[in-house]
Amino acid sequence: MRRGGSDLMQDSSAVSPRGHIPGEAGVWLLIFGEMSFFTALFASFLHARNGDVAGFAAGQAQLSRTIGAVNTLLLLTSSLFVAKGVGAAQQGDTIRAPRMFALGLACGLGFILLKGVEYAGLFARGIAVTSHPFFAYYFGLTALHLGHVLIGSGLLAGLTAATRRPLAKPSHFALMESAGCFWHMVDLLWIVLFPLLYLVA
Amino acid sequence: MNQGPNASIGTQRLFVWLAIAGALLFAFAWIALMRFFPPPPADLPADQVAALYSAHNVRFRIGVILALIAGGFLVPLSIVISVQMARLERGIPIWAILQGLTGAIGSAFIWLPAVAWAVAAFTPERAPELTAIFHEFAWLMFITPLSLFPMQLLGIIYIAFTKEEPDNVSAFPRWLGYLTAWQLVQSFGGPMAVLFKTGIFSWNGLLPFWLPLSLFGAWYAAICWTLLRALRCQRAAD
Repeated sequence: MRRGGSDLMQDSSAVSPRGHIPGEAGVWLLIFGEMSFFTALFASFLHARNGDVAGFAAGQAQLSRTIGAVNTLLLLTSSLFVAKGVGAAQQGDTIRAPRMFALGLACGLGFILLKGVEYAGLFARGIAVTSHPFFAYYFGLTALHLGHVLIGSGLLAGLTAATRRPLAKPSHFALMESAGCFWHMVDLLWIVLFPLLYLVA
Repeated sequence: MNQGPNASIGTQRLFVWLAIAGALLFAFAWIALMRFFPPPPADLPADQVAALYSAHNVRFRIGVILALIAGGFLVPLSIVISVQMARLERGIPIWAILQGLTGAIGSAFIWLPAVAWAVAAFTPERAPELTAIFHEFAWLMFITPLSLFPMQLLGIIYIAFTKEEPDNVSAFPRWLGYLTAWQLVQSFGGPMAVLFKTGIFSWNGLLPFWLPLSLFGAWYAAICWTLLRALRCQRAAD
């Protein structure tokens, strides 16, 4: 999940020659828990889809793959910025770290904006959550994911503010890494959601 | 005679046990007597809704009585959580106040639905559509209000990540902070039930009901356990 994690961690992992697990044990409780919850939701979607393949395909045809793909790109890019930001903060770089987190946040806000454009376009064509089970899943799953993006954006805003000064305690580094891991999870969930909703044929 | 901040440890332990007993009694009434587990489908026709309340009317109403007695179980728990948070805060313990107030007010959404269920069961011979209104009112009040719960959790998360005391004696170890954060993130599925009558987003579906309920059960057990452990440690240190 952490691109470039191994080289970024070299200097801070002196305590553990076996390599460094980003964040702390607790955040993995949250992340694996979230991923198993979402897996249950994805399974439920596929199950419903098997009952009405044609209807789900017709619903899928109404979605804009372009917006979906741009959003995927935005989240992937933001994950890269966040990984760079965590690395910069670990090296005590109080200029580069907040800049990277702010760029990551900008990508996240772009995602939210595009999602709004997408929803508005569907509403304008008279499509709502009640139109078809496909759209119940589409709106339900993407809204739930959007909630995660909002929370993650709040965390990135917090990191942008906090890394303007050097982090003082080991627990601050752990929290920063945990927030970064959460953002990567939000990214990863979208990477599963995008093909599931937009591409599966 | 100990007059310090640890003088109330015995009462705090009692409160935690009250909260455990209350939650168990509520669960018993709700599951065994009201038979709401698993929940009735959100798209049930009115005559079948009315039948839910008229079929075993007396048993159901006894269940409501027990639920009304037990429904305040979150209040003593919130108080102990707040007292423990206040120990760890500097100056005016505003996070503890936020947690205690939101916990107390939020607990209304546990016992108020029981009153609406009581109304639904009170006159079983009335027109089914009228019963169905209170049935929907009760269920939506029980599943969807998310006005206060996240704010209650925020303070716990904050304390878990900023406290100075070691995790193994604390009521708020860091892992509990993450568990609470997960609970906060997942709780947003509840209000979606307002939009759906069938499927995983309806009030008997995976997202508003099954996932938050199992997570709430795990969270509740976890915080009762860490509170009792912390109280044991504080008494030993006294």
